[in-house]
Amino acid sequence: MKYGIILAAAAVLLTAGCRTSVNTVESADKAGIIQPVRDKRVMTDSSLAKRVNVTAIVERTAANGFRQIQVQYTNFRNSDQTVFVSVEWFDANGMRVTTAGGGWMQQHFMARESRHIVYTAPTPEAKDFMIKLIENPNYEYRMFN
Amino acid sequence: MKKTIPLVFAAAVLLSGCATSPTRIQAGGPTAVTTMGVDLADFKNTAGEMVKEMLVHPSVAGFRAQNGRLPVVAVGKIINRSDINVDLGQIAGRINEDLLNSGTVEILAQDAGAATANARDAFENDRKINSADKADFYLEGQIMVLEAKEGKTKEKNYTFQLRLNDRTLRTRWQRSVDIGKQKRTGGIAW
Repeated sequence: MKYGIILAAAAVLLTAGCRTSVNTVESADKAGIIQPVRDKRVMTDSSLAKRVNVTAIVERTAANGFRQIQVQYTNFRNSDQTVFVSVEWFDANGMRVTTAGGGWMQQHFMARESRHIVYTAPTPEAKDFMIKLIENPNYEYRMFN
Repeated sequence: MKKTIPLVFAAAVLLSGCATSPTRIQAGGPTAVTTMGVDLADFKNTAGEMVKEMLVHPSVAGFRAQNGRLPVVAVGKIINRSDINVDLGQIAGRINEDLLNSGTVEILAQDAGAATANARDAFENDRKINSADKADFYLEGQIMVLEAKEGKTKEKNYTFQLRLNDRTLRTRWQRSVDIGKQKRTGGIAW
Protein backbone atom coordinates (compact mmCIF):
# COMPACT_ATOMS: atom_id res chain seq x y z
CA MET A 1 0.00 0.00 0.00
CA LYS A 2 2.84 2.36 0.95
CA TYR A 3 4.68 1.60 -2.27
CA GLY A 4 1.47 2.21 -4.21
CA ILE A 5 1.07 5.70 -2.78
CA ILE A 6 4.72 6.54 -3.44
CA LEU A 7 4.47 5.29 -7.03
CA ALA A 8 1.28 7.25 -7.62
CA ALA A 9 2.88 10.43 -6.22
CA ALA A 10 5.95 9.89 -8.40
CA ALA A 11 3.73 9.43 -11.46
CA VAL A 12 1.88 12.67 -10.73
CA LEU A 13 5.17 14.56 -10.29
CA LEU A 14 6.58 13.12 -13.51
CA THR A 15 3.47 14.03 -15.45
CA ALA A 16 3.42 17.53 -14.01
CA GLY A 17 7.07 17.96 -14.96
CA CYS A 18 6.23 17.29 -18.61
CA ARG A 19 3.73 20.13 -18.82
CA THR A 20 4.73 23.37 -20.48
CA SER A 21 2.88 26.61 -20.23
CA VAL A 22 3.09 29.94 -22.04
CA ASN A 23 5.10 32.87 -20.65
CA THR A 24 4.35 36.31 -22.04
CA VAL A 25 6.01 39.73 -22.12
CA GLU A 26 4.17 42.82 -23.37
CA SER A 27 4.52 46.59 -23.45
CA ALA A 28 3.52 48.11 -20.12
CA ASP A 29 2.80 51.55 -21.57
CA LYS A 30 0.34 51.02 -24.39
CA ALA A 31 0.74 53.24 -27.45
CA GLY A 32 -2.71 52.44 -28.81
CA ILE A 33 -6.00 53.75 -27.52
CA ILE A 34 -8.21 50.73 -27.05
CA GLN A 35 -11.99 50.70 -26.89
CA PRO A 36 -12.97 48.02 -24.39
CA VAL A 37 -16.44 46.49 -24.72
CA ARG A 38 -18.58 45.86 -21.65
CA ASP A 39 -20.02 42.38 -21.66
CA LYS A 40 -22.89 40.41 -20.12
CA ARG A 41 -22.27 36.75 -19.31
CA VAL A 42 -24.43 33.67 -18.84
CA MET A 43 -22.35 30.74 -17.57
CA THR A 44 -24.04 27.35 -17.77
CA ASP A 45 -20.82 25.30 -17.73
CA SER A 46 -18.83 26.52 -14.73
CA SER A 47 -16.16 23.90 -15.36
CA LEU A 48 -15.49 25.32 -18.83
CA ALA A 49 -15.58 28.89 -17.50
CA LYS A 50 -12.80 27.99 -15.06
CA ARG A 51 -10.68 26.48 -17.82
CA VAL A 52 -11.08 28.77 -20.84
CA ASN A 53 -12.92 32.06 -20.85
CA VAL A 54 -13.14 35.46 -22.50
CA THR A 55 -10.98 37.92 -20.58
CA ALA A 56 -11.23 41.06 -22.73
CA ILE A 57 -13.03 42.42 -25.78
CA VAL A 58 -12.00 45.50 -27.74
CA GLU A 59 -13.58 46.91 -30.88
CA ARG A 60 -13.14 49.14 -33.91
CA THR A 61 -15.17 50.08 -36.95
CA ALA A 62 -13.77 49.74 -40.47
CA ALA A 63 -14.03 52.48 -43.12
CA ASN A 64 -17.07 50.82 -44.71
CA GLY A 65 -18.90 50.42 -41.39
CA PHE A 66 -18.06 46.82 -40.53
CA ARG A 67 -17.71 46.34 -36.78
CA GLN A 68 -14.72 44.29 -35.67
CA ILE A 69 -14.18 42.85 -32.24
CA GLN A 70 -10.99 41.38 -30.84
CA VAL A 71 -11.64 38.77 -28.21
CA GLN A 72 -8.99 37.73 -25.73
CA TYR A 73 -9.35 34.13 -24.60
CA THR A 74 -7.37 32.83 -21.66
CA ASN A 75 -6.62 29.25 -20.74
CA PHE A 76 -6.44 29.23 -16.93
CA ARG A 77 -5.21 25.64 -16.70
CA ASN A 78 -1.73 24.13 -16.80
CA SER A 79 -2.75 21.84 -19.64
CA ASP A 80 -3.76 22.46 -23.25
CA GLN A 81 -7.46 23.07 -23.82
CA THR A 82 -9.60 22.85 -26.93
CA VAL A 83 -12.98 24.53 -27.19
CA PHE A 84 -15.54 25.28 -29.85
CA VAL A 85 -16.31 28.97 -30.36
CA SER A 86 -19.14 30.56 -32.32
CA VAL A 87 -19.99 34.24 -32.81
CA GLU A 88 -23.48 35.37 -33.73
CA TRP A 89 -24.19 38.88 -35.00
CA PHE A 90 -27.33 40.99 -34.64
CA ASP A 91 -28.59 44.13 -36.36
CA ALA A 92 -29.88 47.31 -34.71
CA ASN A 93 -33.29 45.68 -34.19
CA GLY A 94 -31.77 42.69 -32.43
CA MET A 95 -32.39 40.39 -35.39
CA ARG A 96 -29.71 37.83 -36.12
CA VAL A 97 -27.63 38.42 -39.25
CA THR A 98 -26.96 35.05 -40.85
CA THR A 99 -23.77 34.09 -42.61
CA ALA A 100 -22.87 31.22 -44.92
CA GLY A 101 -19.60 30.52 -43.14
CA GLY A 102 -18.36 31.20 -39.65
CA GLY A 103 -20.06 28.43 -37.67
CA TRP A 104 -18.48 26.61 -34.73
CA MET A 105 -14.72 27.01 -34.90
CA GLN A 106 -12.42 24.76 -32.91
CA GLN A 107 -9.69 26.62 -31.03
CA HIS A 108 -6.72 25.09 -29.29
CA PHE A 109 -5.11 26.97 -26.41
CA MET A 110 -1.79 26.02 -24.91
CA ALA A 111 -1.39 25.89 -21.15
CA ARG A 112 -1.89 29.33 -19.53
CA GLU A 113 -2.08 30.92 -22.97
CA SER A 114 -3.92 34.15 -23.70
CA ARG A 115 -4.81 34.58 -27.36
CA HIS A 116 -6.54 37.33 -29.29
CA ILE A 117 -8.90 36.45 -32.13
CA VAL A 118 -10.49 39.06 -34.38
CA TYR A 119 -14.06 38.62 -35.61
CA THR A 120 -15.60 40.82 -38.28
CA ALA A 121 -19.31 41.47 -38.60
CA PRO A 122 -20.83 39.95 -41.75
CA THR A 123 -22.49 43.24 -42.81
CA PRO A 124 -22.15 46.91 -41.83
CA GLU A 125 -25.63 46.62 -40.28
CA ALA A 126 -24.52 43.94 -37.80
CA LYS A 127 -23.71 45.81 -34.61
CA ASP A 128 -24.19 43.48 -31.64
CA PHE A 129 -22.67 40.08 -31.02
CA MET A 130 -22.90 36.99 -28.87
CA ILE A 131 -19.90 34.73 -28.29
CA LYS A 132 -20.63 31.08 -27.49
CA LEU A 133 -18.15 28.65 -26.01
CA ILE A 134 -18.53 24.92 -25.57
CA GLU A 135 -16.00 22.32 -24.56
CA ASN A 136 -14.71 19.84 -27.07
CA PRO A 137 -13.61 16.29 -26.37
CA ASN A 138 -11.45 16.14 -29.52
CA TYR A 139 -8.13 17.68 -28.56
CA GLU A 140 -6.19 16.55 -31.60
CA TYR A 141 -7.24 19.42 -33.83
CA ARG A 142 -5.67 22.88 -33.87
CA MET A 143 -6.37 25.99 -35.85
CA PHE A 144 -3.85 28.81 -36.05
CA ASN A 145 -5.19 32.24 -36.86
CA MET B 1 -43.23 -17.90 -15.49
CA LYS B 2 -41.36 -16.08 -12.75
CA LYS B 3 -38.07 -16.90 -14.46
CA THR B 4 -39.32 -15.91 -17.90
CA ILE B 5 -40.17 -12.28 -17.00
CA PRO B 6 -36.63 -11.33 -15.84
CA LEU B 7 -35.17 -13.07 -18.89
CA VAL B 8 -37.43 -11.16 -21.27
CA PHE B 9 -36.62 -7.92 -19.42
CA ALA B 10 -32.88 -8.63 -19.64
CA ALA B 11 -33.16 -9.42 -23.35
CA ALA B 12 -35.05 -6.17 -23.94
CA VAL B 13 -32.37 -4.19 -22.10
CA LEU B 14 -29.61 -5.90 -24.07
CA LEU B 15 -31.34 -5.33 -27.39
CA SER B 16 -32.05 -1.69 -26.65
CA GLY B 17 -28.38 -1.24 -25.81
CA CYS B 18 -27.43 -2.48 -29.27
CA ALA B 19 -29.90 -0.31 -31.13
CA THR B 20 -28.58 2.88 -32.68
CA SER B 21 -30.91 5.45 -34.12
CA PRO B 22 -29.82 8.42 -36.20
CA THR B 23 -29.91 11.75 -34.43
CA ARG B 24 -29.93 15.28 -35.72
CA ILE B 25 -26.77 17.26 -34.97
CA GLN B 26 -25.66 20.81 -35.52
CA ALA B 27 -23.54 20.68 -38.68
CA GLY B 28 -19.90 21.36 -37.94
CA GLY B 29 -20.59 21.51 -34.20
CA PRO B 30 -18.90 19.64 -31.37
CA THR B 31 -20.82 16.43 -32.06
CA ALA B 32 -19.87 16.32 -35.74
CA VAL B 33 -17.45 13.65 -36.88
CA THR B 34 -13.83 14.82 -36.81
CA THR B 35 -11.61 12.91 -39.15
CA MET B 36 -7.87 12.93 -39.65
CA GLY B 37 -8.44 14.81 -42.87
CA VAL B 38 -9.90 18.27 -43.02
CA ASP B 39 -13.64 18.41 -43.38
CA LEU B 40 -15.70 20.65 -45.57
CA ALA B 41 -16.95 22.47 -42.46
CA ASP B 42 -13.37 23.46 -41.62
CA PHE B 43 -12.94 25.22 -44.93
CA LYS B 44 -16.46 26.62 -44.95
CA ASN B 45 -15.98 28.29 -41.56
CA THR B 46 -12.45 29.41 -42.37
CA ALA B 47 -13.55 30.88 -45.71
CA GLY B 48 -16.34 32.77 -43.95
CA GLU B 49 -13.93 34.43 -41.53
CA MET B 50 -11.37 35.18 -44.25
CA VAL B 51 -13.95 36.79 -46.54
CA LYS B 52 -15.12 39.08 -43.74
CA GLU B 53 -11.52 40.13 -43.13
CA MET B 54 -11.14 40.87 -46.83
CA LEU B 55 -14.20 43.12 -46.83
CA VAL B 56 -12.66 45.46 -44.27
CA HIS B 57 -9.31 45.69 -46.05
CA PRO B 58 -8.72 49.33 -47.15
CA SER B 59 -8.59 48.40 -50.84
CA VAL B 60 -12.16 47.08 -50.64
CA ALA B 61 -13.50 49.18 -47.77
CA GLY B 62 -12.33 52.45 -49.34
CA PHE B 63 -13.32 51.58 -52.93
CA ARG B 64 -16.76 53.16 -52.85
CA ALA B 65 -15.47 56.43 -51.41
CA GLN B 66 -12.86 56.64 -54.17
CA ASN B 67 -14.95 55.46 -57.12
CA GLY B 68 -18.51 56.27 -56.17
CA ARG B 69 -19.73 52.71 -56.69
CA LEU B 70 -19.41 49.27 -55.17
CA PRO B 71 -16.38 47.19 -56.18
CA VAL B 72 -17.10 44.32 -58.55
CA VAL B 73 -15.43 41.04 -57.56
CA ALA B 74 -14.91 38.03 -59.79
CA VAL B 75 -14.60 34.90 -57.71
CA GLY B 76 -12.12 32.65 -59.46
CA LYS B 77 -10.81 29.20 -58.84
CA ILE B 78 -9.78 27.62 -55.58
CA ILE B 79 -7.04 25.22 -56.53
CA ASN B 80 -6.71 22.08 -54.45
CA ARG B 81 -3.03 21.14 -54.10
CA SER B 82 -3.65 18.83 -51.18
CA ASP B 83 -4.52 15.16 -50.82
CA ILE B 84 -8.09 15.73 -49.76
CA ASN B 85 -11.19 15.48 -51.86
CA VAL B 86 -13.48 18.37 -50.97
CA ASP B 87 -16.26 19.89 -52.98
CA LEU B 88 -14.65 23.20 -53.94
CA GLY B 89 -17.93 24.36 -55.43
CA GLN B 90 -19.44 24.33 -51.95
CA ILE B 91 -16.62 26.47 -50.55
CA ALA B 92 -16.88 28.90 -53.47
CA GLY B 93 -20.63 29.00 -53.02
CA ARG B 94 -20.24 30.00 -49.37
CA ILE B 95 -17.72 32.67 -50.32
CA ASN B 96 -20.11 34.05 -52.94
CA GLU B 97 -22.95 34.03 -50.45
CA ASP B 98 -21.02 35.90 -47.75
CA LEU B 99 -19.70 38.44 -50.26
CA LEU B 100 -23.10 39.06 -51.77
CA ASN B 101 -24.99 39.26 -48.47
CA SER B 102 -22.48 41.77 -47.10
CA GLY B 103 -24.00 44.34 -49.47
CA THR B 104 -20.61 45.96 -49.95
CA VAL B 105 -19.45 44.27 -53.17
CA GLU B 106 -20.97 43.04 -56.40
CA ILE B 107 -20.25 39.52 -57.60
CA LEU B 108 -19.71 38.27 -61.13
CA ALA B 109 -18.78 34.60 -60.98
CA GLN B 110 -21.29 31.94 -60.04
CA ASP B 111 -19.11 28.93 -59.36
CA ALA B 112 -15.42 29.35 -58.67
CA GLY B 113 -14.94 25.59 -58.59
CA ALA B 114 -16.13 25.02 -62.12
CA ALA B 115 -13.27 23.78 -64.26
CA THR B 116 -14.60 25.49 -67.35
CA ALA B 117 -14.81 28.94 -65.78
CA ASN B 118 -11.47 30.32 -66.86
CA ALA B 119 -12.21 33.61 -65.22
CA ARG B 120 -8.65 34.51 -64.36
CA ASP B 121 -7.59 34.35 -67.98
CA ALA B 122 -10.44 36.63 -68.93
CA PHE B 123 -9.64 38.99 -66.08
CA GLU B 124 -5.93 39.25 -66.83
CA ASN B 125 -6.14 39.40 -70.61
CA ASP B 126 -9.37 41.33 -70.83
CA ARG B 127 -10.89 38.63 -73.03
CA LYS B 128 -14.60 38.54 -73.57
CA ILE B 129 -15.02 34.83 -72.90
CA ASN B 130 -16.93 35.62 -69.74
CA SER B 131 -17.79 38.57 -67.57
CA ALA B 132 -14.61 38.55 -65.45
CA ASP B 133 -13.09 41.34 -67.54
CA LYS B 134 -15.61 43.71 -65.98
CA ALA B 135 -14.42 43.06 -62.44
CA ASP B 136 -12.36 45.38 -60.27
CA PHE B 137 -10.95 42.54 -58.21
CA TYR B 138 -10.27 38.88 -58.77
CA LEU B 139 -10.46 36.51 -55.79
CA GLU B 140 -8.65 33.20 -55.96
CA GLY B 141 -7.33 30.64 -53.53
CA GLN B 142 -5.60 27.38 -52.95
CA ILE B 143 -5.44 24.56 -50.45
CA MET B 144 -2.05 23.06 -49.61
CA VAL B 145 -0.89 20.34 -47.24
CA LEU B 146 2.24 19.53 -45.25
CA GLU B 147 2.70 16.20 -43.51
CA ALA B 148 4.97 15.22 -40.64
CA LYS B 149 5.44 11.95 -38.80
CA GLU B 150 7.27 11.22 -35.56
CA GLY B 151 7.06 7.65 -34.32
CA LYS B 152 3.41 6.80 -33.94
CA THR B 153 2.28 10.40 -34.21
CA LYS B 154 1.14 11.67 -37.57
CA GLU B 155 0.39 15.32 -38.28
CA LYS B 156 -1.18 17.05 -41.24
CA ASN B 157 -1.19 20.80 -41.68
CA TYR B 158 -3.53 22.19 -44.30
CA THR B 159 -3.12 25.78 -45.47
CA PHE B 160 -6.11 27.57 -46.94
CA GLN B 161 -5.02 30.70 -48.76
CA LEU B 162 -7.10 33.40 -50.43
CA ARG B 163 -5.76 36.26 -52.57
CA LEU B 164 -7.40 39.37 -53.98
CA ASN B 165 -5.82 40.85 -57.09
CA ASP B 166 -6.77 44.15 -58.69
CA ARG B 167 -6.90 45.11 -62.36
CA THR B 168 -3.24 46.15 -62.34
CA LEU B 169 -2.46 42.52 -61.41
CA ARG B 170 -1.23 43.51 -58.00
CA THR B 171 -2.24 41.45 -55.02
CA ARG B 172 -4.09 43.77 -52.64
CA TRP B 173 -4.95 41.31 -49.91
CA GLN B 174 -3.81 37.82 -48.99
CA ARG B 175 -4.70 35.63 -46.04
CA SER B 176 -3.58 32.14 -45.07
CA VAL B 177 -5.08 30.03 -42.31
CA ASP B 178 -3.46 26.78 -41.19
CA ILE B 179 -5.56 23.91 -39.97
CA GLY B 180 -3.52 21.26 -38.20
CA LYS B 181 -4.57 17.77 -37.20
CA GLN B 182 -2.56 15.32 -35.17
CA LYS B 183 -3.21 11.65 -34.56
CA ARG B 184 -1.41 9.12 -32.40
CA THR B 185 -1.84 5.60 -33.61
CA GLY B 186 -2.21 2.68 -31.23
CA GLY B 187 -0.38 -0.46 -32.31
CA ILE B 188 0.91 0.24 -35.76
CA ALA B 189 2.14 3.56 -37.07
CA TRP B 190 0.87 4.63 -40.48
